[in-house]
Amino acid sequence: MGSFSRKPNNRRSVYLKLAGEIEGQLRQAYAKRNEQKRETQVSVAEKLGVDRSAVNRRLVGRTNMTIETIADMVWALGHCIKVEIFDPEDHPSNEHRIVPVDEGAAETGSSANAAQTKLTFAHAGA
Amino acid sequence: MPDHDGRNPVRPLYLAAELIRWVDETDELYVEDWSDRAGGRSRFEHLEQMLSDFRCDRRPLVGDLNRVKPTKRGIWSMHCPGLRVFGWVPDTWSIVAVAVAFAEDAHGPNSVVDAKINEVLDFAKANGLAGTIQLGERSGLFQQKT
Repeated sequence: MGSFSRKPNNRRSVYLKLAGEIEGQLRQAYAKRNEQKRETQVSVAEKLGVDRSAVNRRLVGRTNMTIETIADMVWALGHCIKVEIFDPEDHPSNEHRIVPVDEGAAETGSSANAAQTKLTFAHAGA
Repeated sequence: MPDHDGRNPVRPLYLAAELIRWVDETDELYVEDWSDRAGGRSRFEHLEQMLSDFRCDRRPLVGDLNRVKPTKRGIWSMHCPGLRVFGWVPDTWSIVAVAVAFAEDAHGPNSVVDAKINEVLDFAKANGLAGTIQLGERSGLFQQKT
């Protein structure tokens, strides 16, 4: 099966990766709490003082969340955050890497100042 | 999967070649500053994210998976900002996506929904897949415990 042919540039890819990971990890955190029967979208909304639809929009990527909003969601779901912005040259791995190399650097084969962002949401514990 | 998404898919999603071609050729999907812009993404980026999340999330939210009336035809639509993706469910937690429409074209007297239903059914028939169309409700085909 084929795939879509138009690809975003590297700069855009960094944003899409960051947004996708945040939303995906929030959904994962929500799914865990929901399966534990500890939270629903309504209960999360009540904790945050927002409408349930706002919580849903945050989980499915239909709103551009501020850092504060992300923190609020993590808190309401009883999770923690660990953020790491790193140089991929220091962390070689099998994970796909978005390397924001500018055109000049690409021609010379260098990847100076390349950086990535890695986010994980950890369980807050008891 | 998009190049920026390093997740491993955990469930199948099938895209008709016609759908891929329409997405590739429809310039409006790639406009970032569109009329109902939501979540900082273009319509294409929302589509791609929705499809990736369906494939990779351990437990996808299924609120945007809807049966299309008349439900006896077994056609489903996936909703993302600005777009509707039409297809059918061949098995639990899997989708064959055949056609796309702009969300604003899926309402009102000039709605394209009926045309999209027929497009999906014609595709299934032409490819000998009509027998794979599962009927059922969201709770049955997309049970929340994966």
